[in-house]
Amino acid sequence: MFELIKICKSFGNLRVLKSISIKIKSGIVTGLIGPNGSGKTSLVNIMSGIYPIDSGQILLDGNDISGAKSYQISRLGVFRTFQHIRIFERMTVIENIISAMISHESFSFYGFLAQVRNPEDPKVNIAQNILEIMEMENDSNLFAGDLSLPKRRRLEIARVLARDPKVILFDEPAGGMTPKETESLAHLINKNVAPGRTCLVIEHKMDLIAKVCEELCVINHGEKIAQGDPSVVFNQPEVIEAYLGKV
Amino acid sequence: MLNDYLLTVISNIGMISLLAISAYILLITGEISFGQQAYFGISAYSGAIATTLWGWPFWVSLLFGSLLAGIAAGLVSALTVRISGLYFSISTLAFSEMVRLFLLKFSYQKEIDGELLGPNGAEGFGGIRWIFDNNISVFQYTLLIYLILFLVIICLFFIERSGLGMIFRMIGQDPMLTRVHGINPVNYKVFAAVLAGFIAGLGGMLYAHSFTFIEPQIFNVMLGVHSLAYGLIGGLGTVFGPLIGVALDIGLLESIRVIHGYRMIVFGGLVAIMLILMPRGILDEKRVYRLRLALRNWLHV
Amino acid sequence: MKPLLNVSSLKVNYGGVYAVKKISIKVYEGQIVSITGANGAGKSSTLNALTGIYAPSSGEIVFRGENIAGFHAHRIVKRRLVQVPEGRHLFPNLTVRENLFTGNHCLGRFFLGKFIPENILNIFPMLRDRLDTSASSLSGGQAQMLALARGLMAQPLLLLLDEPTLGLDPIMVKEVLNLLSILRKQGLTILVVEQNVRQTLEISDYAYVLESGRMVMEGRGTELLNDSMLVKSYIGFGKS
Ligand SMILES: Nc1ncnc2c1ncn2[C@@H]1O[C@H](COP(=O)(O)OP(=O)(O)OP(=O)(O)O)[C@@H](O)[C@H]1O
Ligand SMILES: Nc1ncnc2c1ncn2[C@@H]1O[C@H](COP(=O)(O)OP(=O)(O)O)[C@@H](O)[C@H]1O
Ligand SMILES: [Mg+2]
Ligand SMILES: [Mg+2]
Repeated sequence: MFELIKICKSFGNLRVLKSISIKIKSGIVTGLIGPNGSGKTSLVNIMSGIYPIDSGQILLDGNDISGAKSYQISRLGVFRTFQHIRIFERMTVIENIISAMISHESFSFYGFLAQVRNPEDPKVNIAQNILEIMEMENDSNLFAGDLSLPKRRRLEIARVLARDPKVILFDEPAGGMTPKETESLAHLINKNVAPGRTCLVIEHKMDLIAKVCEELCVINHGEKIAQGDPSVVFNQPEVIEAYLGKV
Repeated sequence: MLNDYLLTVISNIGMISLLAISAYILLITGEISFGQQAYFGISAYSGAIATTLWGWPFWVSLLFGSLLAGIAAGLVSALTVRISGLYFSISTLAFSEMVRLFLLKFSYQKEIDGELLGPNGAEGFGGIRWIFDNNISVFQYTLLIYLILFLVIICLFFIERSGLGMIFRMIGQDPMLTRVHGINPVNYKVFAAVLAGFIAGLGGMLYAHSFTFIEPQIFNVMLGVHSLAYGLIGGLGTVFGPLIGVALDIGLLESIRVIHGYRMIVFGGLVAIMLILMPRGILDEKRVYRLRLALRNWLHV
Repeated sequence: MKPLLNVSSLKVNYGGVYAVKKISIKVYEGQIVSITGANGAGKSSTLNALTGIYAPSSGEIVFRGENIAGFHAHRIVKRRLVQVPEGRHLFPNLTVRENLFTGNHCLGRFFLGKFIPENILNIFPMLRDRLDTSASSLSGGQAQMLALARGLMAQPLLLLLDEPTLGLDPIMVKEVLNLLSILRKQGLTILVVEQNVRQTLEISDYAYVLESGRMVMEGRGTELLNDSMLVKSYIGFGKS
């Protein structure tokens, strides 16, 4: 279980997270919503070790990982996607997926000798299967920089699958997608990504949140204002006030 | 048929290619180094001292000079690994100038066969006579250079196809994403620097013994800028990219006598045009990938 | 009445592949016109051709009686046809305030302005607190707000918006779409590309639907909303 205890984070005099505590339940998808600038991305950056925290504790399965670097956290089986898509644009789609599979132990000669560009390498096969799951099997030889936006987002998720992490942190996976594309993404997450994993999904598209989340956490101004079953949380007056707006 | 002038041009291409490959390795890991000529120079001096003053065998001296260059590169890289971009470039430039200024003051001479030999500051270091002492012809020495270049290319070819090569390119494109993949770029950046320093060192040591005379002025920043430009012209998609760059500059421009003397101007213009038309060089990642697919298909048919 | 912007048989190609194949758009003064369609349908390519960011391969773009097809971007923006591009394109090392001034700069003044109209800051109160921090430190949604505000700084006659609600929270989405109606009442003409198809159609006077570079449907916003085919293929999710 991922547990955040009294996390504080400031940038200069801007207090972004104000002693926030969140428990993320294992094996289910938790949604994280909140207004623009409320600190969602900062929270994910902290959980993935990109930002150091000012105070507080981060527990992963009971172990304190507060000071860990991002590459160390990644090796513990935590993987994330980015709000501003990050892919290796000057590599092909399949190379991007393989990049998530190469040796991530400390400097090793296994990595040195592994012939990743070899078409007979088992990694290539695994990557092809993942591309089929993502319905991108015809794009494997395209350069990632040439993909359309929904495909880039899918490539980020394909990379997640290649990595096969215990915990996945999604930062606006449906950003820039049309309602139709969002729907098929929701389907994909439910069918192929979420089962057996702990997921945290940041999203402003309530359609996606409603489809994939079993638990919902709402933050505002760096503080948690609600957590619980989505149908309950959606009807809480402070959530409607701060985030959803009156219908 | 192969006259001495032509052989000199060809062997020059080989030795400078090693320097260009060394700059290329850093380019694919995303750093621009203006200082690879320093490692070229360190190895030229130390390798030549080993053969000429200490009487070490050639191969041992070659390894000695190159290892020294690699170690120096590793130390500099360990100190600068946390800075990147412009700041990294400037620090490499500063280090290489330090080396050059040191060589200008560096004097270490010994009497060998009644003659005072060894580096003597600005006056340079003459009498590196290993070639003559061992009766090696220019042709044979050129073969030797190309043997070493060939070995380096083979090594790099395999590195590029391995996970290590992929990690280099990952770091070059997005260091933060690389970290999220569980890879700590620090180790790999230092390793790339050592490798690049070592390869530059191979070139430098060969250079000293080919010309028999070296002086600190040779290893100035223009040499480093050229070696960078070779990768940028030839392409950053494969190790053959920088070789194309060297062949174009030294092979083509140098040998067209009409533009002799204007070579630097033509070369500068060529770099500018290339950067506009093909920002990542002739053999950039996309073309290399297409070529590789075509080659694979052709081999299968 | 003559349209403010009249685009006819516009084509855009990228290295031989046509992203936009012969489309025509008319925008009358004081209207909100929207373009919708799946990703990769060619919406952004169309807008980029209109503002000269990417030259169209053929076709006419008549803005206030003048054919501006093929003009450079800086000449088009001086005619006060302003685009807020997809993906924001802020200057990350400048402060929020300086970014806003660059919007003003495109009117052809040599020196940057010194004055930010109150009404722009009132629309995006979040920016007011952050005027002197660098644009790179903004959150995704805040950056989108800054891009919109910068577009308004240019005092456009025709405002082109490419996915203006990208990354905004539900309240801000409503506010921005509301803002479009308000701006229209104040006389601004708007051409908007949006993915919140339903809400956008509600406020637009006329709408076009693009599919792989072709116009497949057009009509009054409210008419299209009742079109079952459109609802099925683009709006999805059935509910609100
Ligand atoms: N590196 C940084 N330096 C300074 N301020 C920052 C930095 N990163 C984030 N902030 C600030 O912290 C606050 C929270 O940002 P964050 O990106 O976490 O928001 P968010 O909840 O993800 O919002 P959105 O939905 O708009 O993406 C914002 O006010 C933002 O400007
Ligand atoms: N700069 C570009 N170079 C090559 N192809 C492009 C470029 N920009 C867009 N395309 C292609 O043009 C098509 C239309 O893209 P775009 O206009 O961005 O669509 P939309 O905005 O509707 O999502 C897509 O197939 C896309 O891949
Ligand atoms: Mg965010
Ligand atoms: Mg678009």
